[in-house]
Amino acid sequence: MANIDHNYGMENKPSPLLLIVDDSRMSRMLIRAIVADSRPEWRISEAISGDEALLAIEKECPDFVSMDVNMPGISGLEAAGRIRMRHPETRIALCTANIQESTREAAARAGVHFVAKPITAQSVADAIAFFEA
Amino acid sequence: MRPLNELQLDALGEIFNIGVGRAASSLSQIVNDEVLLTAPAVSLVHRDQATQILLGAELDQFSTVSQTFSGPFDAQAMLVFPESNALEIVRLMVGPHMSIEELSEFEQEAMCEIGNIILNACMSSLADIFHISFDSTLPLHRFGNTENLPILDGSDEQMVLLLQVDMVISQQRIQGHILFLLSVASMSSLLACLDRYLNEQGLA
Repeated sequence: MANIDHNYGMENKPSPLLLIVDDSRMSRMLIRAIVADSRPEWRISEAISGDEALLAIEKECPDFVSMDVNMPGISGLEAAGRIRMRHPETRIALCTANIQESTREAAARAGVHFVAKPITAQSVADAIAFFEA
Repeated sequence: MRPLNELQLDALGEIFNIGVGRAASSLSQIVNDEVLLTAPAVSLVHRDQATQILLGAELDQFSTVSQTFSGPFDAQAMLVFPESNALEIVRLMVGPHMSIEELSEFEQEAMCEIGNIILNACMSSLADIFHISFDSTLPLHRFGNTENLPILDGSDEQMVLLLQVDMVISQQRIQGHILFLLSVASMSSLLACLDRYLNEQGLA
């Protein structure tokens, strides 16, 4: 029987979707550019706040999320917690300039991976390794 | 002086946020508590506009720490807190057991330390990202009001990079400002560094 998903390739799965959540346009552009370079097959979408991220996951649940912490509106930690509740399979990397021990601990408690800013090829590679682990 | 475009302003804001994030980490070790430090707004204004913004602040008595950074471009940096808030920060740093008189004795020293941490974190964030380095003078603490803030003197052509700073320690919210006073030449050099960086990243 024909599978309507056949266009997506041999595994009948769409390519992974990464949602980048950051209020800084530069940070979103940097993450997008570095990911597009090393994982050109990934689809990438963006949100500029935690609230917008929660709306975005209602439409399509991403496989991976790169989440900033300090943003207008709800914090990235809270947004990550809510996404994890609804979609426990989604892998979330907290990509933040808030490098305090308390933030690292909160990330660990929320079951998300911690990546310290600034965004570099290396920090994005770290997040990608976590997404694919 | 051309105004900054949206991406340049966003990039500077993000670089300074990384800086204050590091500063918060250092301060949290000092106070042994979580410190939330963000620079939610960055703007580039003329020197006299910076005066207006500070005049618009609730109180006109300030506790300031200044340091001069020199390198590929020079910046006179200043951290400004309303005087009452500064004493609150010092109380949180040196412990709640001291009297106001005792606290006042520590204020100069503690504010110098905080200023040194925050201003250096901002400048080293710029330095790391642009691959440059700065020398800095020792932090200098002053009390001032809007009549005699040192940043208010000088040439009209100087520009001020103005960062609003939000600090939360032990549920106490403290607002201040960081000012970077730059000559026209230094401002151009800073923008050249920024454009080169954005270019290298393929963003501009």
